[in-house]
Amino acid sequence: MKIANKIRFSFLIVGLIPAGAAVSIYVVARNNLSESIRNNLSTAISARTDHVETYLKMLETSVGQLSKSTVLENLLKIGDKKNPRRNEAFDQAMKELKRTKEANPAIAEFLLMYKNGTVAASSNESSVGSNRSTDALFLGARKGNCIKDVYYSEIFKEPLLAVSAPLVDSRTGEFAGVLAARVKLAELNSIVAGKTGMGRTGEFYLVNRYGYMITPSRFGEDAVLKQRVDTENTRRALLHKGREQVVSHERIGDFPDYRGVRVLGAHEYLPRMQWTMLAEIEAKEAFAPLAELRLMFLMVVFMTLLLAMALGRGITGAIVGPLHSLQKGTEVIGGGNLDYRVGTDAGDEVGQLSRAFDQMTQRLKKTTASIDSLNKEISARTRAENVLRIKDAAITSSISGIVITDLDGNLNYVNDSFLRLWGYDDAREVIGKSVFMFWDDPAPAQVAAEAIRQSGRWSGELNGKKKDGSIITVQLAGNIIVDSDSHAVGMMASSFDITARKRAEEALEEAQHSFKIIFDSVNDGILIADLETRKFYTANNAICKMLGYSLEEIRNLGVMDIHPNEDLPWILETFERQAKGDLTISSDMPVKRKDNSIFYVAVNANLLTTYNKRYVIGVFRDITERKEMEKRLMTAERLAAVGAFVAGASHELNNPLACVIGFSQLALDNLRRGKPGHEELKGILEKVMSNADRCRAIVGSLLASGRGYSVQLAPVNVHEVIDEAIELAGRQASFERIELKKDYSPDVPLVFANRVALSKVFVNVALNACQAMEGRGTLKVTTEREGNGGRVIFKDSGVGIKKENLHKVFEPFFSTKEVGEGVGLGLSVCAGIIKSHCGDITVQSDGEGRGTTVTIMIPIEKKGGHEKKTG
Amino acid sequence: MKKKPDDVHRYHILAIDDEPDLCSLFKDIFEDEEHSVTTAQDGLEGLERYGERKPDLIILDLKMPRMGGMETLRNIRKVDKDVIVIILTAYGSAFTAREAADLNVYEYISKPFNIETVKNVVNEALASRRK
Repeated sequence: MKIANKIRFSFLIVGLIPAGAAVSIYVVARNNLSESIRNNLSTAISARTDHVETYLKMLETSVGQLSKSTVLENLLKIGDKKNPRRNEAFDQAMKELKRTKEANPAIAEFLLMYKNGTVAASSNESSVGSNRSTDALFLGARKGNCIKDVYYSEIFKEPLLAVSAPLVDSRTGEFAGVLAARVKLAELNSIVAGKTGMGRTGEFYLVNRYGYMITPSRFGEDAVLKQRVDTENTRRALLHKGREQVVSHERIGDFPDYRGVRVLGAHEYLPRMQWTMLAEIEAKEAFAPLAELRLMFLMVVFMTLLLAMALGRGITGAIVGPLHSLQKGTEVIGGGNLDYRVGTDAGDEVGQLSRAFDQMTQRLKKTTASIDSLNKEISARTRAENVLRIKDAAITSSISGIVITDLDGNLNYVNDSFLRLWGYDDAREVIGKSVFMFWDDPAPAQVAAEAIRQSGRWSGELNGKKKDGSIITVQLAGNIIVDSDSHAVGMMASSFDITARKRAEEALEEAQHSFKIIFDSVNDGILIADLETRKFYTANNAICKMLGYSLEEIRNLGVMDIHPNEDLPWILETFERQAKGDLTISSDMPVKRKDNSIFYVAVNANLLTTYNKRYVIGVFRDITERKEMEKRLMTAERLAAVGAFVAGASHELNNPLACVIGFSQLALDNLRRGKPGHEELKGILEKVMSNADRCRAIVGSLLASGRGYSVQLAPVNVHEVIDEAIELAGRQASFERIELKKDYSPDVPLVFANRVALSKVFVNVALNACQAMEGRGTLKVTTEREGNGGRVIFKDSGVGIKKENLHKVFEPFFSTKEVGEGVGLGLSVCAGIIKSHCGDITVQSDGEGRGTTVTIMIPIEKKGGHEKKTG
Repeated sequence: MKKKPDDVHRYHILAIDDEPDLCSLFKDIFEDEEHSVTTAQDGLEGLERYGERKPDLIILDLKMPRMGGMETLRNIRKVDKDVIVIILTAYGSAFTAREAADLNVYEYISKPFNIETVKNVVNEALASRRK
């Protein structure tokens, strides 16, 4: 528990002591006060009850005395017979009664009755003569004094009380009649309902045995004999009836009265009249002093506690405030801030403590500072030692041979690497010896040592001599060693065997030299271009010659500069593909010389990656000459093709021509001999005619094909051309025993083609098929749509093509046919035609004897990329 | 038909040519010369005819479907070294003298030819046989 809480708690406890005292005082006071209120009530009700009883007794006594009056006795003795005595007696009695009544204003009426109940005389003359024999006031009084309970008098129109007493014959002692007095309640009321000592709400009242009020209520008009009272108070009164020794506080209670208002009430029973006397005061009023007392008590307790708490708080602040600053200060200083001051100026012990604490902190700070500087010094020394140790280790483990000598060059120290370098096993072999014995030629070593002594350092290469006499090349760096006063005390040197590196460098130089020679002596041009910038990195002699640039000029050029502008787009695209490694060889690339003339090269490209740079190496072969050759070959091929065509055509013509000539001669011969008849001659001439016709037809078809490429391209129905071609082929070879199957697809579009050229191709393919089948077999021609064009497939059941010959079928002059069986156009020319249509022709065969399939693809239109310049 | 029946067919000639009109021309010419003539349209048929009746002389065209003249001749030479063979050829350059010598060809005639030339060659050849 914090100190502040402890103090506050103590004050609270101290504050509770007077509060506790107040509580006990309050309890005692309350009980006493309550008791006194009850006692007051109890005393008052007893007094009034006694008073009422006294009053009743007085009434009885008064009536009893009056009944002894002789005047009244006389009248009763005379009786009611009419005689003068009676009249006199009557007058006297009446006078007596009236006088008595006058004297007593509480009396409403006196009645004197004969023993038969007839009213003999009265203070009220109208009552005389009436009979009261059944009245309680008569009946009750025959044997003694009697008080008739309060009743409502119809005659007087008010509640009355009647007191009666018997009249006795003074001589005989016989019952003579009854004297009754009707009494007004005013006196009783003033006795009972007097308000003296009952405050604002207290009241006394009487309740008869039937539970009705017989004295007026303080709170309601006209309550007498009308207000029924059935309350706890009356019930208790009936309960206590006859119990003379009831403890007084039992007669007092706290309960609702006839109005329902909570009251403090007491009761007293009057046995004679069976009345109950009730005394009630509203609890609120009765206990008002108690309530005041409680309020005062609560205020006292509250004030006491408040005061205790306020005091506690104030004192806590005064004591704990400085303590808090002190505590905070210790925490801050504990955290390492020695500059913090608690600095409370409180004059008490805590203040003194905090000031002493601040002094202590000051001193602590000084101490700490000196410890810090000590620690720093220690760690600096430790570091220095570590550095030395590490340096020592570095020297020992260095792969350089390290040697330390005195100024004359005598060895003081060598490391392991030095021993290894010179081929020694133990430092003892060399320590103390001269440093100059380790060199092939000591002279340069002495020069080096002198340089170190003079200028402080030297570095360079020297030839060392190992223990076994072998020579090594050593890279040496030497320094002078000075002491703390800058006086030279020795020398040190580190040495490194660079023999292998020297050799490698020499080898590399040699390799570079050889490479350069090879590079420049290659006939092909070599260009190396940066992949990113497309600038040339280097080039060989051959390409310089090809291009007409010097090497320096080439290094300022790029890929863009050595090709004709119009070809740049596809050449750059090619370069990109080469860069990706997609393409290694590209032929027919035009190259521009310095003088802007163009030549053609085939380029073999490779990727080269060095130091994160990427290059494309292009090997350029000048193919201008080859292209010239090809051009010449093409011409020769065409000439040969024409020759072959002419030869084939002439062969086709020779057969029918032979027939024409032969039959003509036969006819002439026969005519000369006069031998044959008319009919026979006719038959011979018909044969002449038919063969001449054949000649004409062949010449016609030759003319048609001879028109060649002069015919423009036009939309062509492939199916028509095939049919035509097969018919043409049929004229050159016999298709009679060849089963022709056609499978034409209606989807094949019109293609944009040279009809005659296309026809030539189909004729050629059909004739080849026919020959392959030797005139007997099945030729199947299929067409189908192929993407953006048509495909024609000729499949024959002929001998097929040997695998080794397949790739040669498109070569010019290639033929497997018998010499002399060549038929005009070769497949190479077919391929040329189809290629000029941007189509494709392929030949497949499953092998010898299994037939051949020729597939021709023709696109709807000539399409395609760049038109390469072909010779 | 003035000659005696046994003289009618003095020699038997086999003409092999894919041109039916030429075959019939040879038939006309040599039957007129009182030789018997058999014809065939290609090499295979020619070999068939040869098998049926051995001829004294064969006129052989080189370029024919199914089986060409050279192959036919090689087949014949396998079984018959002596039969006279006269080659008909469309252009002489394609047929070498060396081959002709190897296969023992009597003579070769270029198309188109003169009937008299053919007649002379055939008769000369048959006459040499007679000797």
